[in-house]
Amino acid sequence: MTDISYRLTITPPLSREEEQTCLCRAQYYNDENALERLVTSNYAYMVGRTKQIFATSNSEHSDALLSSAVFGMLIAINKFDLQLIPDVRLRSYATHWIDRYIRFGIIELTWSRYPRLPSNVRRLFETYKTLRKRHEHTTGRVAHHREILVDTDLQKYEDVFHLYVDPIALSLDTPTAHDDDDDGYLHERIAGDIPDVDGMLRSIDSESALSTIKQKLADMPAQMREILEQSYGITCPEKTLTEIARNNNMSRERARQLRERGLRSLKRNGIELSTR
Amino acid sequence: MVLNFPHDDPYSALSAAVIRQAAHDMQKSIKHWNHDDEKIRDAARATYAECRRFLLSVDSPYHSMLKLDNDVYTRIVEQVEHSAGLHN
Repeated sequence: MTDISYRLTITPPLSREEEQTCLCRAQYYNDENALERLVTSNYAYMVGRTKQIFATSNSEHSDALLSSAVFGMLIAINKFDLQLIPDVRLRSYATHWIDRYIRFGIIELTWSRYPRLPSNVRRLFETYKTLRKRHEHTTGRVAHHREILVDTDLQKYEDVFHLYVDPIALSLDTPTAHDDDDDGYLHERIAGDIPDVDGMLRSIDSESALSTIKQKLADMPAQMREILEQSYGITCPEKTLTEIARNNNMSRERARQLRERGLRSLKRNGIELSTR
Repeated sequence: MVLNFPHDDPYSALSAAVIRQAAHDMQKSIKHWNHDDEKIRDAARATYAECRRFLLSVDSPYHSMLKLDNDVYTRIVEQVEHSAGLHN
């Protein structure tokens, strides 16, 4: 899995079908090419997340945190269950894991309490921090976490530390090109102009989103649609619940219930639509 | 939980309301997470899963209308879950 890290490059985002095919191939057949496509197509997003969570000009930190983000993405690819959540895109699912590993990366780099972590994990790291300091003081050198944890109560959590404290190393000098002619390196990719893939996707989506919502409203029962339209001022000026109730000869509470039901109905349609 | 989304047209306002409703339903469902009645418990967990899936599905038309960063929705889910003690 880690072998792909040395040839990271940016590729266009995958369509839903391509993504699902790649996921199947990566999970069931250990296809490295599929895995690489999944990682590289989300590379710009991972760089964005890294910058957003830990905005810094320190390239050393960016390098290490980006490797944490890639590691989070690899974990997400492994864990993503297509059968359980078929209508969620990999990027949505992986955001949690990418953020999580970036935050653990921050802890490792700065020992800061800045990232928000579950209290039990935070306590674990606080104890580890104390042990590490004690070890450094005794031996006068920085040690691997396995060495620090040996013969301690935390040894049973070694897997956790293996995952969180030792993310795969990805140097800034990592070559990112496939061809021998193109001698690109990771630091150039980070510093250079990264295409705003998210922005492109969003602009395409927002064009079709409006017509989709209009269509879904048109398909709703008439009374529910009218209440929603009046509540949010879609085909007429915006009205209060009391006004809507008076116009439709119903109680205010009934109007509120119908509005809620309408919103839930739209939400369910949203989930169905996102599977297409 | 108060969720204010910027919107400049009626359809964005509607989209914001759909998102708010999902977050509200998710928060409500967590209250019945360990309900004694199995049916209520199962229904609450199904609602929770549905709302969470919806909030994190960044390619839904409502998410697209609001043009907000994906991080916003992740934070909403985290906030709801943390306030309900699901992560402890």
